[in-house]
Amino acid sequence: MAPTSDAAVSVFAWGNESRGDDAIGAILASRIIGLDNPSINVVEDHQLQLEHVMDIAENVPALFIDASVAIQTDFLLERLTPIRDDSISTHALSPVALLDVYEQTLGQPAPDAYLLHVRGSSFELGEDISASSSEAVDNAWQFLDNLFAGPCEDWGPALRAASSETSTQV
Amino acid sequence: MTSRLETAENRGQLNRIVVEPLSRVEGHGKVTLLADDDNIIHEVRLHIVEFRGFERFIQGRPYWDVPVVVQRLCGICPVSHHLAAGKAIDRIVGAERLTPTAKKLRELAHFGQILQSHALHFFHLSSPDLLFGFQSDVEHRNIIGVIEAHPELALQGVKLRKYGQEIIRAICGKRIHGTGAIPGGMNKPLGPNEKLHLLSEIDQITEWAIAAVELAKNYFISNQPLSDTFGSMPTNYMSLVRPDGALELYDGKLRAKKQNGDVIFDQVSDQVYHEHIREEVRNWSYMKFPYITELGPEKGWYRVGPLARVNNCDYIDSPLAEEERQIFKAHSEGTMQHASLAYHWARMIELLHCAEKIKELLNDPEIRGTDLLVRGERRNSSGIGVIEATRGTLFHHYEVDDNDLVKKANLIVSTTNNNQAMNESIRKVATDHLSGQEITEPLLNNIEVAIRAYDPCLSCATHAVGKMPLSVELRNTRGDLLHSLRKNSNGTYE
Repeated sequence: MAPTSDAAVSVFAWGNESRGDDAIGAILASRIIGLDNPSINVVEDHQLQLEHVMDIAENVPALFIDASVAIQTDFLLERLTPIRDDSISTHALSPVALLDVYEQTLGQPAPDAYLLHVRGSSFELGEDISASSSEAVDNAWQFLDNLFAGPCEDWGPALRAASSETSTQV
Repeated sequence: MTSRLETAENRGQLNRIVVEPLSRVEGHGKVTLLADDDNIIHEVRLHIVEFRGFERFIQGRPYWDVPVVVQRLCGICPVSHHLAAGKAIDRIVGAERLTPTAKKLRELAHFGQILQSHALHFFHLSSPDLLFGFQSDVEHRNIIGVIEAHPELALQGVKLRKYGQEIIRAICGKRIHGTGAIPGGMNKPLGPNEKLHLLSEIDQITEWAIAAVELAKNYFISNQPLSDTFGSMPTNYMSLVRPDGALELYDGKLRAKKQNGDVIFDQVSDQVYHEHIREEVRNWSYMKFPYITELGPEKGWYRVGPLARVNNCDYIDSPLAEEERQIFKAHSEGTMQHASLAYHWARMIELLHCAEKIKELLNDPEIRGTDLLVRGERRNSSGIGVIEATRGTLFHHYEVDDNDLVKKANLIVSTTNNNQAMNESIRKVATDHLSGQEITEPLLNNIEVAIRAYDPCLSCATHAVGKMPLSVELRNTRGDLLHSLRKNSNGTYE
């Protein structure tokens, strides 16, 4: 049976605060936790791993947040579909692989899911977050802060709408 | 004891084969083989290009910050680094005699960490090999194959892992970057609801652990002689044990045994580990090769981790795991068990031990105590913390200056301790299964299986069962390509 939750959104943020821009997920997680909103369930970890399928709540949108070297803009919201990729049997799953494991393990469709990519460039141990990524974090935070300022019933539709918009213009 | 396959005599006249896994965050490994024109293997080396910025990362930080920041060295076992560093800093502040509650909370966190890590490795990363066979269809030999063929087993693995993480969160505040251990103790008690929640699930967890031991044991026993010989060789073993010889994971004395079970040293204080363990540098590897000083580099290398711990201890102080240890020992007729695939069996015995000890600790009235801290006086400039981490003995050694800043750090991680042993295991596999053969995916997987038995911390790469991109090339001494095989990340071959 899939886990349930009273929250309106499950946020998954991961990375290492001491590896330069890998801290992006942790910084944004910290800001979301600072909102102290009981409708947001925040899960923070070093890496996405198999047990996180038990943190994905049935019918509650999942928002994944991670640093990305693959985007040219400050941030990008992508709507996800479950995919069995090559991270499936490692210590560090991709969000789409985690959604696939969720469906396979629990035998039901994954909830709506989104990945907020935030631009990063440098990931060395002992480095602070770079100036450019720091700016990208602030811009991504503006998006999240606006999102969570609205009624929680609107978060799911807003994420869906933003993902289609941002994927083409951000 | 070191294999003749470490360095070939006529290296320049041999063909070079490189097996290079994908580089990952925690490490990067590759295997090189030198073969003659008949594909007879003459040299095999496992190279681990481990990130070596750890010590520098720690230097210059205030000592009290160390247990927190070392968790960021590794995303796989942060709690082990947290506790090893915590023990080292306890020494620096003269507060190593913790209150009973603080010690038990640390032990509980440690059992939770080992339980979840062993569960991940066995159920999701190694079970595809064991359930389907090393040479089964690569498309099937992965976690999705396990979910499809054994859905209950796969779900148990997820839930065991989740339970261990919940213990860590209950004690350290968060699953990562927690601040449970502080110099001289712990920073928060275990709440009543947390205890009740964890207790409500422990009987189910224990049942699953019992079933996991059965699975590992049955695999080992029913797959002989392969399970006895695959990547196996007689070695020395090192681990912590309690003063009475019992298995010990958090705090004990060092014991090393020879391949025949004779004691090399016993009840050695971890504070003098450097008198018994040295590290050798070899010009072909970025990773050091530790050895037992008394035996020298040639004969003194050893294995650590579950196999070493179960081999070394006199008993396990939890009844179900002890019963299984006795079966394990009886299988090798009371002698040291040297089979590399027995790591899986020993690992599951430890999983069961962790489940039993978690229940015992949760039912201990002192676990809910609030006396969490002892005050000491800064008395030492040096602190050493040694712990049995998931993968084996982990050493943290710090030197602190008069300004309370770390001026020097030395870490010997579990995978480093197993460096020579992993090399010897793949040499055995190369001799038994590759030498004289054309390279095929199942043969490549044999190398992976041997490495994976140790659950090394380059596991991000080696754990990618059936999906690890590998390229193997056989070239002659002029560099001409004679034969190649590439396994793509989607499991297809070119």
